[in-house]
Amino acid sequence: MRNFLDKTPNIDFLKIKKQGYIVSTLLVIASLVIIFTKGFNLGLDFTGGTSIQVKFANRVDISQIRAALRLVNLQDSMIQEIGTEKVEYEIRVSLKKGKSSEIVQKVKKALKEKFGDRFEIRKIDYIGAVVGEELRKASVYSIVAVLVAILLYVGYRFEPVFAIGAVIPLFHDAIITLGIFALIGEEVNLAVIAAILTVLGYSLNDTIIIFDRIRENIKLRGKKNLLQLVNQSINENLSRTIITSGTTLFSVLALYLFGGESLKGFALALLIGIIFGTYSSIYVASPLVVDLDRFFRKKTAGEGKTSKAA
Amino acid sequence: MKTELKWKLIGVFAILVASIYFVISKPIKLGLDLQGGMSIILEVDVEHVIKTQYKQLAQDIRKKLKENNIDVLSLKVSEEKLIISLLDPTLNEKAYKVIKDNFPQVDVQISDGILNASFSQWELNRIKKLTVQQAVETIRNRIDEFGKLNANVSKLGERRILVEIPGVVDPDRAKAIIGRTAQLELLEVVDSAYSKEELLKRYPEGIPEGTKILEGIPEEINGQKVKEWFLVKDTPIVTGSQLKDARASVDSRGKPAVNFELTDEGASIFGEATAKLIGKRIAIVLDNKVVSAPVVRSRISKSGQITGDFTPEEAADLAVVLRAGALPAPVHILEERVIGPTLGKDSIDKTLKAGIAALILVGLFMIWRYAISGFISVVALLFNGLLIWATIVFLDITLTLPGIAGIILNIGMAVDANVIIFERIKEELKRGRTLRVSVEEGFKRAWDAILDAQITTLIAAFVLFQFGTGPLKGFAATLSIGTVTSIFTALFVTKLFLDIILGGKKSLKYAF
Repeated sequence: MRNFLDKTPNIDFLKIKKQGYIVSTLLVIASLVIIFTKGFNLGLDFTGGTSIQVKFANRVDISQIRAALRLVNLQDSMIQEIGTEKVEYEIRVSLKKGKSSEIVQKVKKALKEKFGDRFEIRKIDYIGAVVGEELRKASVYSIVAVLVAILLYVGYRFEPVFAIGAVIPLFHDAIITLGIFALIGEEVNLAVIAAILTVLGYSLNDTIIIFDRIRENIKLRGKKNLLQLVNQSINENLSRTIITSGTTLFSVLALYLFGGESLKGFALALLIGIIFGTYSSIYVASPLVVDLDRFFRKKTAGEGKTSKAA
Repeated sequence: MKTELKWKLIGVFAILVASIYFVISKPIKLGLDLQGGMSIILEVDVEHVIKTQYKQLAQDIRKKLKENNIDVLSLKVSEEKLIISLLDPTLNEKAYKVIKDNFPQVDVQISDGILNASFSQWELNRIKKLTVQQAVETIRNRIDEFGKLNANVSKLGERRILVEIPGVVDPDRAKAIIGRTAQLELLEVVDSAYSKEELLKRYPEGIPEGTKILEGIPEEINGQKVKEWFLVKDTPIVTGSQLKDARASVDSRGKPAVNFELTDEGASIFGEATAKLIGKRIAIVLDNKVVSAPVVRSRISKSGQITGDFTPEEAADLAVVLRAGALPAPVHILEERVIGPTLGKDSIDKTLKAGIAALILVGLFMIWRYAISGFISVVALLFNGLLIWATIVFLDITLTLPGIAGIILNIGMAVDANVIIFERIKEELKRGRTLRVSVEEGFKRAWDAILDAQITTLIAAFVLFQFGTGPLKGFAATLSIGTVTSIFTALFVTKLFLDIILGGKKSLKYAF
């Protein structure tokens, strides 16, 4: 049983490269549409405001909390359950409602009136408008910086064709992950951005290991039939891809299931990113290398002809 | 065993011992998200300081020009410069020279017969830097006075300050102590009234130059709440910077008050001024509010008293902030996070559970797939965990919740290098090579792929470290450390153990 992965398979991955392109393009477009129409559920880190996390001694319904907050005119605040036991909630109040210290006092007062001492404030976060704006900018900068740095590194270690082939899937992974977050309305906060950056590193990691095999095979047999070489390289690496993605998925899944509420969004982004990162290494990055290589070679060959004719 | 292997084994053993030593020598530093506490990011309003500096400069320039027999017609203070016009414009050149010679930190220009003076860029930068530095020191003093010695106060970027107080704190009291400017000023009172309108009515042409209107604090007189408004001279006689000491006390009516004492320099200035002001009122102004305005009965020099509607606790807190020094500029709270201690404990418990689950799953899988070698890679994985822990302690890195997540992610990724190598070895074995040759080839060929893969992860982690804040930095840090240590354990340690176990054997059942 344990040796079923030992046999090097001979799957023609690139036979369906067109379908791969279509699926990926559709996914990216769909993600962009969702992102632009539905928008993100941006976390406090980016919007600013006050968030108060409260844990009650016994089960409490959201409607009861809302009723309590009506006493201090904060009934339109966002109230979100944490976990599934109906004992812990996050109350988020927008910046427009006033100073954070006053809001915290108001919420405390309202809860005390309704629930007595049967609650505990677990966490208070306040983020000013300036910081939110800055964090938003810094997140975009950091994603761009990662992409540029990676482009340079891969361009240096491999050929330019590989660099492009490595970076385009990264956009693909990041956009789809964000698209899924927008679709299910999961909160996008700093931790999620961190997860996406990690996914970029991970997805690339996966791509590079296949590229490395392609490079090795090119050295052995030349570039003549790149398509076959790429297919062969993916096949040779398949057991590794399955195993590594598997072990990483195990770890992230453990984080998602047992890591507690504060890491849930973070673990989810990693989970989605790893799945699409693995997919994109095989179905986006590898075919891109083949096609880009063919395109550039045709072009240079064409130029060679014209120069000869002249 | 070969001598070379022996030395390598001794090396690995030495690292193991050193790691264990670090791990048990010092507890790991936990971030606020894990141990509970409060963190605040403040922004220093440096513009405010520059404005006050301009006011001070205006006063100094006026004085210097007078000494040189140059009469000033008007001297306007704006946000970024002084506009000086002289009674006799022919003296412009002379005034220019006087300012140039006496105030090297100032750039002067004459345009349209009017002198413009502004601080040089160098001076502005110096003021900004000094202000933030002073603010950091003042806040640190204040927190120290409150016995929170393990708090961290540090500069964050150009004009921001990060304050982290671990443990249980009363956020409101902490903010009041940290964020209070506590700018004490003693100002000459020109006029006063019980409403702003009434006061303004007396000056139909606008309030005189060099004065401003300040609000008093509400007081109860004959059972009615009233608030007095004051017209005061703009420039203070003395300020809190000339304060030597401040103590909580009680006033003549037995109510809480704060007594203060001036420095020798402050006392001599104040004495001189009060001698001239007998029969007039002096406003004691705290953060732009008049807390009291006693009438000067006689020359006062050294000490004074601030009375107001204080509770004993407020008086004590005020004495502390005055004693620790005024903030050189107002500060604004940009970000504030308070984490209760139970949440931190919950987080540790949960992530620890996740980590153990990940380790067991990955470990079992590796042994199932790679038998003896799989077991070796699990040992290497544990060793890697120990190394990460030791490095965190050694480099004094603060462990945060995302930091733990970084370590857990690492468990999955760290075996990657071993998987690449082992799969490679299996391939070689399939081609009919001997165990020895296959192992050597496997390690040699996998090297490039592993290096490229790990470097790209490092790039992502490095960028995250640059741009990230607080907890995210923790994630980037553990991820980077894990990436580096896993190269060592996956390539060097596993190879060593394999070499020892395989020895000279041509083949070994369940080796892979």
